[in-house]
Amino acid sequence: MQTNPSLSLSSPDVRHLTATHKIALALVGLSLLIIVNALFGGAEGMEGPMLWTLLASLGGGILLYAYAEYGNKPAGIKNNGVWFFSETARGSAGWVMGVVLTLFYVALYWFPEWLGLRSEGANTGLVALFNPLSYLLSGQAASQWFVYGTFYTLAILAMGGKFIWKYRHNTYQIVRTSSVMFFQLGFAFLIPEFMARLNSTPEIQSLDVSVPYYDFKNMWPLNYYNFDGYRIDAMTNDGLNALTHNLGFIMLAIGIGSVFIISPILTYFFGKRWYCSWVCGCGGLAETAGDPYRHLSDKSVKAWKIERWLIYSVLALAVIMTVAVVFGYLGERTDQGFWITKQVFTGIVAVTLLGLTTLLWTRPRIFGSIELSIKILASVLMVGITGLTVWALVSGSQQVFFMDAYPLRKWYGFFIGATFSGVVGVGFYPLMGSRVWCRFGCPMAAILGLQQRFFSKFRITTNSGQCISCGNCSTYCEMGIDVRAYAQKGQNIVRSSCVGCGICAAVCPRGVLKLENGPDSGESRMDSVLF
Amino acid sequence: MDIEWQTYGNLTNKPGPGEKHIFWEHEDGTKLIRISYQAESGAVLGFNTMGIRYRSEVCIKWIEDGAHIEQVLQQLSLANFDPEFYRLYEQQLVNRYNELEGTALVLKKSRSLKKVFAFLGG
Ligand code: SF4
Ligand code: SF4
Repeated sequence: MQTNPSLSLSSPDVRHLTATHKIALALVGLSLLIIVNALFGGAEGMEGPMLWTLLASLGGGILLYAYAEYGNKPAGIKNNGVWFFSETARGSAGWVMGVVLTLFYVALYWFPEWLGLRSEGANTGLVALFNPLSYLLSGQAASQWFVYGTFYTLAILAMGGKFIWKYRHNTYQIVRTSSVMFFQLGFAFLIPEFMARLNSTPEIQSLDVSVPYYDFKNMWPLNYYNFDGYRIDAMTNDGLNALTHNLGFIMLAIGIGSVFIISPILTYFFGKRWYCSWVCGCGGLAETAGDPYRHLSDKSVKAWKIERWLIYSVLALAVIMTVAVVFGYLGERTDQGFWITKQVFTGIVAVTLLGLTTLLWTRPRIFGSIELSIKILASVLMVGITGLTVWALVSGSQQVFFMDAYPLRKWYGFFIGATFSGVVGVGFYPLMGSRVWCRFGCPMAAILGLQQRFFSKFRITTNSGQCISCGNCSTYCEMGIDVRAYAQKGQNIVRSSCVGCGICAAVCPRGVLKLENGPDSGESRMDSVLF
Repeated sequence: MDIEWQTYGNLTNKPGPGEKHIFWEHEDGTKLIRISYQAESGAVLGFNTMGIRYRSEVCIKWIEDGAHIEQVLQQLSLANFDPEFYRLYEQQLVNRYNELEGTALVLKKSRSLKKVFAFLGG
């Protein structure tokens, strides 16, 4: 490698890959080859060896690459060259990656037959390739979702390993990433598969009921289908068998409890980070697989404005959709053995939304900073939803918003659930940064963000005397927060979008930033200058 | 460059006249804490840390108040600004001081924001 005579500190040299890098890339290439081969049916008859080779070479390749990147260097963050590297600087490699990921999601959601899903007979192609693993875990043949889940989990595990290697001097990052890896592997991947295995046991099959596929850590409204009719059905199926009945009931209770009790408490003490960067699968993928792209998030004020309009619109849609679906479903139910009735549900909606509206206007110390027009808009929405729900109850209609709940749910699933969170959310990692979905679309993040902004002890404090305005913190904030602007002024960072990843604090060369959970006196968090 | 280095107040590489230093270094050579103080009055003069982050407001208050080194050492955790879950090394420095001076200072471990507010406010 020749030396560059330039005195520039940020070497603009093209990166030279070592032999280890190349071997690692070859391994990843091998796994891609197996995937393409399987797509065209080339793996038939030898799924087993092909699949294990695929998983081993992909995981191993990523870890070997991490070793080549960080293994022989002293601990400390190495982001050298990210702005000059095609893959991470929206160069051609980045675009290719973006297009491939986007296509994968398009196939997954709308054209699973491309991947080998067959409506009749056994699956072929890529889906069939994953049969051996699926049989091992759940005793059933693989579906396109199993393929997706496996890739997803592998990405979080292998890229999580790379992430930990990169940030190995930072205990907060190690603990947080281990947590994300644990929740993905256990809660999102293995437990649901084992539960599916229950369904294939003869006792349960003979009862003609089924244990729902449920990821305990996935909450409404991120998991917008949590309260759909079929889910409530599956969860409370009082069909004959105490086991499934109780299991279903426990799951429903956890679902409701986590939204209304567990989540507000944890967010109060720790901020939204307890979910967004410690537990959530979407966040987990963004933090691990998305880490090389985190600097691509847009830091402009314009992006911040778009972010606020978009994310709260999605939240409003999610609420409307859920109210409509649950209401419509409860109206159809005939058996009365179930404690949630239309009346109870309307009551819950009214108390929650009207309560929030009242708080909004009677707590100026907390909400004083919100613009009047926004307050009015939010109130109109919340009162409106309540009013329509009550009206539907009184008039005996099944339809809350004068339309069938089903198309509403379908369109939400199409635009938000699939297009936004999947295709754009992950497919655009290499173009718009790793947290596109979390920042612009996730309704869960919207709720947690509001809590974090108004009722939480969490904030990032600044040790402002030390700031040299280098801008590392803003650059690597995946949520597009201009951290430096706060640091320069010695302000606390109390932003609803901050997911508490702690990267700004990690990359700061002067130790200016610290994530803290402090006393919740409104002033001490909001004061422009803290100390 | 992987070095993080913070200095508050006055510190010379060798103790000046009438000055004393208390110093601790991690055995792997990546972390150190050094505090200078007046030998006679015990008033702290400056802080120096490598690989460890200190909160400027707290250090500055100690220096401006001319706080006694023994008081500072016992409260030293308040100044620590390292991220959560980090191993803390204030105890090592206090042990060192106790060894050298034959004292029995006890470190108050809490570095919660609440305590810091109380300290800065009071
Ligand atoms: S402000 Fe810091 S902790 Fe918050 S999201 Fe940005 S980088 Fe992460
Ligand atoms: S990384 Fe640290 S020193 Fe650089 S601008 Fe941000 S707060 Fe200031």
